[in-house]
Amino acid sequence: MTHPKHITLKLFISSIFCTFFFSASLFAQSNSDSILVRSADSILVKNDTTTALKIDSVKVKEKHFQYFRVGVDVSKIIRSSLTNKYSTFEFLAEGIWKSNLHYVAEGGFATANTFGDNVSFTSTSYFTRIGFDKYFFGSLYKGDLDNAFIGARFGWAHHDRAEATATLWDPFYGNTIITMPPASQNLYWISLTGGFRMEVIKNVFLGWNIRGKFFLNPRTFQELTPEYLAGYGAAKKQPVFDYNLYLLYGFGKR
Amino acid sequence: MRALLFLSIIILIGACAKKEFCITPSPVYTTLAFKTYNTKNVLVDTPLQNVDIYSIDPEVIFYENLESTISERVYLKRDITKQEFVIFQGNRRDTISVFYKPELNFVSNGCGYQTFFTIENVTFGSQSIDSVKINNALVNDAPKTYHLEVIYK
Repeated sequence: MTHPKHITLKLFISSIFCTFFFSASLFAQSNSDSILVRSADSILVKNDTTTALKIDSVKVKEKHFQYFRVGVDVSKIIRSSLTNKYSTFEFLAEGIWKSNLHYVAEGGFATANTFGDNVSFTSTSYFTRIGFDKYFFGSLYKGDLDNAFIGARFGWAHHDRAEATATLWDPFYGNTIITMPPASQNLYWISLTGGFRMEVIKNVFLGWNIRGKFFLNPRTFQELTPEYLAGYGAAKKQPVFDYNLYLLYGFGKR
Repeated sequence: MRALLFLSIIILIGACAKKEFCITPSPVYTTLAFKTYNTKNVLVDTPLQNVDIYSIDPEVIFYENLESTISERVYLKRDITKQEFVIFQGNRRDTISVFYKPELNFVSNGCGYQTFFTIENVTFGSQSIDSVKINNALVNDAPKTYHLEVIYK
C-alpha cells in the first residue's frame, strides 16, 4: 500500500520535522507499550498492558535478509553540481535482519579542490560506512516499510592529496611559495544517524538521514585539510553534521 | 510547492563551503635578553648603552643602533642553519653565533606555513660576554619569551 501521490512529498517533509521533535519519546514507547502490534497472522490487535490478549500462536522463526534496498543520495549529486569545490557520489545498500533492525553498508567517492589565496591542492577520496538502523514503529500492515529510525555507523575513508602549493609566511625576509609532496591518509570516524524511509510507489522509497560524525583519528588531518572528504563531509570540522536524501529501490520477499 | 522550496533550501545550505581567510600569523623572532650578575650574585637586566647590533652574514641584512636596551629581537633565516650577530658597545665587539634547525609549521589552509626554529647551540666571543644561556630553545610565535640570555661580565 502506498500513499496518494499528492501528499507523498508533504508527508516526507513532515517526517523531517516530526522525527526531530518526537524521536526520543517514540523510541522509548516502541520498546515498552506499543499501541499496535502485529500478530502471527498479521491482524492488528490492541495491546493493552493491563489486560493483555492471550494469543495462542506458534512462534514463527523470523527469516533474515529476505528484503533488500539499494539507493543513491540524490542531494549529493545536486550539491556537487552547485559548487566547484567538491564533487561526490554516495550509495547505500541495506538488508532487513529483523523488521526493526536493518544492517546498512554505504560507499562512495569524492574529489575536492582546495584553491585558497595561500594554499592550493586537489584531492580524491573514497569511503565505506557500515552499521545498523533501529526502526521505531511496528508495521501497520503486512509489508509496511514506512518508518523512522536511528542508527550508528563506523566509517573509513582513504584520502589521496596531490602535490600542494602553499605560501611560506615570513614578514622579515619575504614570503615564498613552497610545494608539499603528495600524501595519503586513512581516516576513521563514528557517526550517529536518524532518518525516515517512505515507500512512494511499490518498491521505490524516498528517505532522508541526518548524521553527526566525529573522527577517531583527527590528528591525521592537522595539515592541508581537504575541502571535502568522501563520506565525512567538511573535513576541517569536528564534529560535522550532514544529511542525505535517498532514492531507493527495494527487492526481495517482505 | 512549499515542500519543494524547503528541500531546495536544505540542498543549497548543504552545498555551501566557506572560504578560509587568513588572520595574519604572529611574527617569529628570537629575543636576546642582556643580563649581568649583581653584587649578590643574582641575575638582573643590564641596559646596553649606545649599542650597535648587526649581522655579519652577507645573506642577512640586519642592523640596529640603539641608545639603550635590555633586549633585542633578531630574525633567523629559514634556509641557513647558522647566523652570527655582532654586539658593538663602546670599543668592545662581541660576536654571538646561533646554530639552529628550521621547522615548517602549518598555520591554516587560509594562511599556509611559517617557519619555527630550534636553537641547538650558541657560541660567543668573550671580550665582554661572560656566557650565553639558552633560556628557551624553541623559537615560535609565542610572545614575550626570552630565548637567549646574554650575560655580561
